Amino acid sequence: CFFFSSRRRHTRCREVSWARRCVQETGVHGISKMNTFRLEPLETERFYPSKIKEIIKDEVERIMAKEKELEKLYKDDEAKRVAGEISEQVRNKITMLPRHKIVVQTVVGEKAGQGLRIASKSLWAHEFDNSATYSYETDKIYCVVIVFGYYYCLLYTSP
Amino acid sequence: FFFSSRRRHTRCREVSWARRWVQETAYNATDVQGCTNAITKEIISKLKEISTNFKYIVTCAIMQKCEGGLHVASTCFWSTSTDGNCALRWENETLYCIITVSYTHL
Repeated sequence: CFFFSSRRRHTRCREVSWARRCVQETGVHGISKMNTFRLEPLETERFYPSKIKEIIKDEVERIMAKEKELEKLYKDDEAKRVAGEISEQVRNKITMLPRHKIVVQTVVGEKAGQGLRIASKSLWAHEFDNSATYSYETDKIYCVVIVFGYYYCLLYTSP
Repeated sequence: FFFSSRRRHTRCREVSWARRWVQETAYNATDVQGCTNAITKEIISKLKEISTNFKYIVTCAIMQKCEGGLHVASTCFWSTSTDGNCALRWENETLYCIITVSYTHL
């Protein structure tokens, strides 16, 4: 058990407090369920839509630059693969935010003179949770990426 | 907390209930905005009635029927025991409607 390891007994005076070290040692990508005594995310660890939008833009443009055939002519199985790939790559870039849960939705479609409307509503804590969108289009296809991020907080419990 | 399996069932029921908004409507560029807003709002309020212990995200995409193709993909980073999602696809003569609902436990 982490709390009662023998290493702990040897540490006496440290610059960093023991509670902080517990959080640091479990690492960013390991989901630490330890109580950090924080009610909200730190300023550097928030989900900022403008920053996330840039990340999405880089990823989408990088992937679409490889898919030259798809840009010229929409093909069903290729579009399916590309949509999945974009979702995965964008999600992998955004999981660096600790204590945030991420949902990424990608819509890839063919332009054929039709109309399309995508809307979303959420029930969340608006101070910490947010969403970012980015759309990319060429003559033949369009791609819309929506990313939702919400803070994973153990303190909100209903009675 | 342990409602995971029950959630999928109830949620798909709520989402399929929202179909009535598009039952007899043709795709109309001016109306569709109000339509999507109304669908998502109703689904959220119904989900809130089921349980307030969850955070919800509802996305509704309505597309006019045409020769073009469409793919919707989604990935997530959450805890599979407490969180999940549900997607519903529906169509009539003039439009397609795709609704996805994601829920995460607080």
